[in-house]
Amino acid sequence: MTDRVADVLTAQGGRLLGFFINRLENADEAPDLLGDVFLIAWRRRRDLPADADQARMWLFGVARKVLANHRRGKGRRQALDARLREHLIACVEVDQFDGVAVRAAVRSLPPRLAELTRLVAWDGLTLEEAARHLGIPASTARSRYARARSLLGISLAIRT
Amino acid sequence: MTDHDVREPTDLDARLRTGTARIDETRLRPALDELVTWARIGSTKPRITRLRLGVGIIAAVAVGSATAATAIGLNSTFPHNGRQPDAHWVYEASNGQTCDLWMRVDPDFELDPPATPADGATYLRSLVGRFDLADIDLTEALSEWLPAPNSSIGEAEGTALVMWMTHHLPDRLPDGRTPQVTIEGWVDCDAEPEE
Repeated sequence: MTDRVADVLTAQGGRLLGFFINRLENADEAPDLLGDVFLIAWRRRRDLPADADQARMWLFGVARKVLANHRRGKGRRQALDARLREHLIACVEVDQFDGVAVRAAVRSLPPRLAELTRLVAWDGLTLEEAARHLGIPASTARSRYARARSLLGISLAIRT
Repeated sequence: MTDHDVREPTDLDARLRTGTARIDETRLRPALDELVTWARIGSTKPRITRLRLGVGIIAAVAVGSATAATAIGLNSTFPHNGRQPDAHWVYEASNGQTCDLWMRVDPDFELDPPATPADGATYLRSLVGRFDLADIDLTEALSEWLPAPNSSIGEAEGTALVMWMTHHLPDRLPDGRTPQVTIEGWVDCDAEPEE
């Protein structure tokens, strides 16, 4: 059991770290939130789905709640060792040029469209998985994503 | 917008990708391994459930002055260096592991007047006697300390127990002197129970 949990966390750790960095204004906070996800996952390891795809979605669900708690300012923070925090954040690179404009364009979308875009374009979820993650019908996700792409195309001067 | 500014549709996906954080998975792996260990141990309820002193626990100890510090050796053989440990603890960790914990007060310091072995024994007795084991919660000690990779839960909790003790040292020796000591601890546990 413990080896499987370790394998799943290690395999998904990079994506989960990216999940937080792509949504936080201060990327330095991402390792602590990743630590919270790992702690919760270990405490609830018996709930971790056996299927790899479902386990990934389960972890993304935990990450979403951790992020929501963090934004409400009520999340219990586990301060990671400073060395480990630096080690984690040193593995991350955010494009400082074109990427800044793209991130701004995504941020400028209506929140429902922005989050859907992050899930599909940045976190690697399919539209169906993103719909499940957000608790909306897949058809709604498809129409929202088309709308998001259209708006992004305009703001980034790209034909969609 | 001019035609020159208009890109092909597939450019949108490519440009979107520039907005995401890129993770160097190779560099990340060692840090994730450490984080997994941190989460595994941090997710337990770190409370020593049973602790008893070994036979003849407090031998003659020399006590002097030094900055309080703790040296921890995990899974290591107690380095006698000509001295026996000053205390031997047996405890049951929160996951059911049974562990041995040896402690020693560093003798390489001096007091004014110079400490005697009897001072050290008195000091350790006062240290042990002031703890109500039922109240020892290692959460804070564990949160301040990153366990070595592959530590068992019992080893981590034993190490945290030593740290906890150094944080709760008596301020005064019975004769009123201020103890400044170095406590060393060694932990050895049996195998972790299967889940």
